[in-house]
Amino acid sequence: MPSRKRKRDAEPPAAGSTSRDAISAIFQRHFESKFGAVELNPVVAPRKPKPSKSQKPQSSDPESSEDDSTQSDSEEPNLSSDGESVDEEGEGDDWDGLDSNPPQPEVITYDFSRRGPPPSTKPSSHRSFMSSKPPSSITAPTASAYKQKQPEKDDESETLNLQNDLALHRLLRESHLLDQKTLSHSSASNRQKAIESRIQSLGGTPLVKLTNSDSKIPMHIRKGMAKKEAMRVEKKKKVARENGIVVAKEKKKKRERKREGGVGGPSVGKFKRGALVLSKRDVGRMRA
Amino acid sequence: MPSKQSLSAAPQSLTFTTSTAFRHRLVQATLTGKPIRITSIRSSSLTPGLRPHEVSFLRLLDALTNGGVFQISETGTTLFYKPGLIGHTPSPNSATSSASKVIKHVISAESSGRGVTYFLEPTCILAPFSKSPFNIIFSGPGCVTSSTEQDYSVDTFRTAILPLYSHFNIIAKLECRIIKRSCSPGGGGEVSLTFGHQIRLPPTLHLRNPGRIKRIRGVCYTVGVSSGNNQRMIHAAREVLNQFINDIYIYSETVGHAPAAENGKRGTPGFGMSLVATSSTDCLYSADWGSSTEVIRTPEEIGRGCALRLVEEILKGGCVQRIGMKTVVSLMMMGSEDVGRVVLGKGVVEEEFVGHLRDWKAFGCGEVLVKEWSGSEGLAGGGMGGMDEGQLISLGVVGKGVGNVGRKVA
Repeated sequence: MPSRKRKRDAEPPAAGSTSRDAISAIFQRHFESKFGAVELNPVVAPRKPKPSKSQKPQSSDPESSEDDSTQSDSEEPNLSSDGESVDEEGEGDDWDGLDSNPPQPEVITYDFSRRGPPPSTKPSSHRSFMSSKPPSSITAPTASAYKQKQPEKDDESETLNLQNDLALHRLLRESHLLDQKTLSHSSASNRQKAIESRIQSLGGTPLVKLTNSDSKIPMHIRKGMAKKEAMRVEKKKKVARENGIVVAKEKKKKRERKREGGVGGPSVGKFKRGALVLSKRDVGRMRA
Repeated sequence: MPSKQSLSAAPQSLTFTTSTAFRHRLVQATLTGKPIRITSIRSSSLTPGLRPHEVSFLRLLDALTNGGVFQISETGTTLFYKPGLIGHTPSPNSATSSASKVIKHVISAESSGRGVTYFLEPTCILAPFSKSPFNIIFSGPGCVTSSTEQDYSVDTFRTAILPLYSHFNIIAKLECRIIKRSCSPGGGGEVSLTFGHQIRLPPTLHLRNPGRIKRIRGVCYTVGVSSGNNQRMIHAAREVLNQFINDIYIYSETVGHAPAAENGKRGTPGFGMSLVATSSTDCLYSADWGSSTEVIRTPEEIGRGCALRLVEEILKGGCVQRIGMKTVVSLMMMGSEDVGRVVLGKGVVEEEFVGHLRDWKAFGCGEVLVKEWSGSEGLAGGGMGGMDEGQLISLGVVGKGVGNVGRKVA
């Protein structure tokens, strides 16, 4: 990155020093508020202003003169941590050599107080290290990482497809409520119907049941209604049987065992007069 | 030839003197099946003879082998040991229950000066060559899980020594569980060891690239003291280590009360730390430090000291660290008749280690070739780029091909 390199070298050494301090203080405060207090070592040993070096690029490249101290400063903290910037520094030295000046030894102090991101410690790694087995250093996590990566590739298209599918389904289901020309809900009531149908498909109670007077039928009448309904079904069945029509079989309801009332009753048998009475069936079940 | 005849008639016993390398000599004798006689054990000391922990180790060895003979002189300064077959056979009347296959080794209070790793390390060297899986529970008032002045902690054993066996393809069914943590002296801890991977012959090992450190893990424990000490130790250790590497994670373990000592006395509280660094080629370096009852150490001292010890261990370099050397060399010696190589840092080679190699030679399987290792430039995976030149040696070990005698050939 030649332009970046030039910027670094072109940075006016004396002028920006005060503003740089202020800005670095801001950065430090921001950093500390996020990650906690850090002792900052000087990252780069104070370089001597090299007049021949700093003037030349300014004259050759008009762009670099625009560059203010803020930008060069924001780059500076990177220097310590990533290797790339160190390379840059090396390149800069090469470039210096072109100048036919004796290359000044540049002391770079690595600032170790700033680290990379913390290691990802999954609960699985805890399990593997703190279990009673010797921790296997054979790289298991990479395998899992690989597995996770594989589906990620077509993950985006997959979600998009799913979304489109859902939209199409909805459209088909509610097509009777839509205006034929505009393909939008023709009226407010239709829109509400559509919404209600969605709620019902999700297992909600139909609006009619909630608001209508149906929901306020007295118990004994409701019971009578249920009885009548059952009678009608029975009658239908009977007629069908007599006429030899095959009707769908009813599913057998699984009968739940009646427990003796209350919590703490015996899970098997009956408690009678201070004794647990076991029927033959109970005993047989226990034997099995 | 008369000398040969006498050899075949009565197996000649090897003779050693003094109590140095006591454990490993016994292990070597058991592995090679050669009887040994150790004389003048602390003969000039005020407390002559075997120490309680050594006797405890003999008991453990007796439990782990079948048909061994132990003869200790009255003063305890002479020991004759004729090894049996490795492998514990449960008594026939209780053979059906799996619980009978568990060996329970109770360590007496007198031997609580040594950590339980004193027993764990040689046990694990024997275990791959056993007839049956090892299932041992160490307990008793002398069972110390934390690090002592001479022994590393069980955490280090699990995270830095047991993984060494994976170099020899011994991976399955290894387990070392700390059931109760304890500190020295006092003990009362409990550790269960399962070593269920028995092999016929360990494969030849070639470890030549130490790689570079990629991660540091650790365990920090407090027993009967505030768990805030954990945070203090971790903080101090991280102050040292954070500047080198990013991937550091130190887990903390807190035990509310130290296990009660004998006679219902309160157990010793304490704390400590164990750190393990893993390199890109799965070489391990570990460090261990803990509190002591004799010297007052703050948690910060422990954390910082432990981190510095780890750094020192890494500085020594090589593929195997000091505490793992004997395990690796023992398994290499028992391996197939081929030259295995392992690259070591020069700092790893100490008097004790040289003595260990000499002992192997005395047992008749000590072909060791030491060469200067000229860096790891030519190797894939990136060495130190010549930075470690002149600091490494290559140790070539010719296996004896003895392997596992007791194991049935499938």
